[in-house]
Amino acid sequence: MLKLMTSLCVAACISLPLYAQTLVLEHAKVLTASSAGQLEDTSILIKDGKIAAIGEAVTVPAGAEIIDMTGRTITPGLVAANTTLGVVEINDRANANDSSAKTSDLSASVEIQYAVNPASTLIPVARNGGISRAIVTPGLGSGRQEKLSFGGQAAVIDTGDGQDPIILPHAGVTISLRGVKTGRAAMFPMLKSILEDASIYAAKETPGDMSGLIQKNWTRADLDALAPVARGEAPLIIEVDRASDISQMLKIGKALNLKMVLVGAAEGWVVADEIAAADASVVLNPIDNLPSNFDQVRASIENATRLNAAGVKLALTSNRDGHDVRLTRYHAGMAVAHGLPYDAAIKAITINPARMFGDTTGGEIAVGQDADIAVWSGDPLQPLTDLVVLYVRGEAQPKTDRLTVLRKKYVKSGE
Amino acid sequence: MKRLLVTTLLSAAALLPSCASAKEVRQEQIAVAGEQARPIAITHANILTASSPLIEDGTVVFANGRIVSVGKTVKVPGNAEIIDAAGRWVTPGIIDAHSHLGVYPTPLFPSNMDLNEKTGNNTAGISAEDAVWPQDPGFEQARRGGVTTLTILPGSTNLIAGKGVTLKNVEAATVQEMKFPDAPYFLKMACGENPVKIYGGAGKKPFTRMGVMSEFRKAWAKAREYKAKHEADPSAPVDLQLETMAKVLDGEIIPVVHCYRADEMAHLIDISHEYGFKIGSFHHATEAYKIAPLLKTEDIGIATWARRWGFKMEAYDASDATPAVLEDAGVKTVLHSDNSILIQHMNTEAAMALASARRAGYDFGYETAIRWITANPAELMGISDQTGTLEPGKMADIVLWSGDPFSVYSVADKVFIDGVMVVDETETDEESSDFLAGQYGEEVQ
Repeated sequence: MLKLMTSLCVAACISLPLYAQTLVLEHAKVLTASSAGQLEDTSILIKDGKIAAIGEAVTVPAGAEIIDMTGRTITPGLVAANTTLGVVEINDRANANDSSAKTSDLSASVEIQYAVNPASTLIPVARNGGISRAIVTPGLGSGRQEKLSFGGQAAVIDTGDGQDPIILPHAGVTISLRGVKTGRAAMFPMLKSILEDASIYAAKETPGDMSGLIQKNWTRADLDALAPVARGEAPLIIEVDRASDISQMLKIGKALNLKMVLVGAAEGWVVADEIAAADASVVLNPIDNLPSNFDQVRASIENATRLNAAGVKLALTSNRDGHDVRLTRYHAGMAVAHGLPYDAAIKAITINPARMFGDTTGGEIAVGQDADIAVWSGDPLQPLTDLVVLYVRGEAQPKTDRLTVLRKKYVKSGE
Repeated sequence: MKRLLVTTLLSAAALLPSCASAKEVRQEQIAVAGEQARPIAITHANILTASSPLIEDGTVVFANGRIVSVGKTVKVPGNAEIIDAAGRWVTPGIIDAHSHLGVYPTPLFPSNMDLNEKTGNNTAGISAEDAVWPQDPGFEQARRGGVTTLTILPGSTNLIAGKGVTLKNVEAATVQEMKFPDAPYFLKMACGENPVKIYGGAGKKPFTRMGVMSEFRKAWAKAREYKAKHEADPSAPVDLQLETMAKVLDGEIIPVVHCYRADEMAHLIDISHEYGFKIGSFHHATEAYKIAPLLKTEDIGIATWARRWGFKMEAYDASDATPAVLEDAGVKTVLHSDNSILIQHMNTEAAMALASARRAGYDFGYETAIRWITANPAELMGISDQTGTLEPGKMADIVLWSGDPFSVYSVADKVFIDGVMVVDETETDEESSDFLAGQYGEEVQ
């Protein structure tokens, strides 16, 4: 913690350049996650925390550190979509779970950015799974809603040691259509009218003009938070599973020109063409294949494969628990085992989640991107592959995490 | 082939007299299948037997539900059906020592949530067997993940939750058809947060870990009294709860304890000494790495995960290297699922544990890692003379993987239970779970 505060102060107080190191990673196999695809025997120049050049031969600036990455595979730092990373230390009964607002005074105006703790022990563990960014989402997955309400505004964070974690403070607004107690006959009219209100409000010439709205109980704060969603500038992040619910949601969202990210989408493959036609994206855990309830009867291990085949942009996750985001790469591998093309799986844990939530600065190995780079001993989706080093905005990250510290304390053998 | 055999099995079961015991039902099914099927030889396979070094380009032959021979050069019977593995991999069927399939099923509603009899902190008299719903779609998905045998446990809300039962993962309409012949029962116990949360939270005992240990001692003192009384007077009235616990004291039922913290495991060991029972294994046990030598001395196995941590306070001190540290210390080490999704991916779980071991500097090979999900759970479950390795005479519980079982891309191409093919990658079957029958939507091909 002390170290963290010191480096933040160095950056902010003395305004030294944060990224002193100029690096060249040479002779790597690079899975760019961009239109450039896979590159062999490639070098990457990292300067000022950004990717400055990529190619078989890059001009090496004076003083640059050159690292031979022969035999290594490089990917963008992985991006965990829809997680509690940084806002949860212990899930249950430890007063250390700050993943949702515990008040009804705020709805869409809840901002998860304020709950993010860069000192969380989960963050170094996530880094060791190659995770350099995460989309932290508030209040999804409650499943216990009395009535339809928004979870709040998601944030894109990075996992860099000693860096300000917030990349995008407002990365869309979450809502869950799971288990809303009012029933669908009330939920959908409510959903339609509140989203229509947001559109009416967003189109007003005078800021704060709340006249002519359909619903009664609006606050200006909630409407202001929804305005970017209503304008299609930020996504509406919708937790939904049943095929018919997805269809209804798509109709409403399409009529209002919303940018939609569907989360979960257990029965998404059943309506894959509709999702593709609405240009909606899907965030899912590819191995969730059991019908946990009657809204997930058609849950399938091939959900990701079929959605991808229909042209739907996908992000693949482990479960939402921040402790488990390091498993993201294995879940992507399991999707490949069940038919998802390999490059689609790589994009689904890098560029896709970044772009879905409006982050244009990371997620691919391309010139101008933040130098969030994971170096692997082999295929990054394989459990027997090791993370060699993770760079976040050009900084090589420490590999010590709490799990390792504890093991070394008790066990002297090994190593 | 799959459909034919399954149908045969079910008709055989239907013909049996209704008074047949579970053991007789299962054994009759195996006999019928064995008589009607030819011997099977899987050839040109990389074989991890879980009892020997890797056999490359080997053959495994099985007939009448049992393994006949395994090796580099074995005699294939002339009438055998040959399955050319063409370099694919063969392992024993995966065994899960800790599952709640059927008692905590999907879909999950209050109407079928049969995991915890929350009517008292000691319900030793109940049995998970009485609640297993064979239509839980999780059974089939676990089968597709290569799981051939599993223990269904109740709990862990109660200090003493009741009996766990070991099943063969076969398609069936009743649990009797699934029961593993002659497998010992378990008594499931639990310490720590769960009992305190549920009972303490309701203003009942135990409210703290002090209460947990005190309630355990009271219960075992009563069981010891009961045992002594019945030894002196065999006609004394039977109490189901105390009867089960007395069988633990007799060594007939294996006690297993849900326990995360090292200090609590040590207390449970003390209690087992005080009252005269032998703990079979601690489950979850995320702090087992802190007390590996003690566990070795006490000959207590550990069933744990490769990667779960921090989801509650008592799981905050986990280590990725726990399986490796235990293996290195000579503790019987097992990876368990405790989860209906994870149970489908136990080969990947073993790969993660192996990777963590290597990162921590332990030089274990595939031969060791495969035992964490096959031979070792079989030993903890008291069935290692029957299954868990590919050795002649054992049950033909076999998985043919599409590739290296420690690759995330490998899937179970074929799964055999008692020599009967229950998963076949070349067939697209309808769902076996009745719950999924006739549900709307296109079939996944």
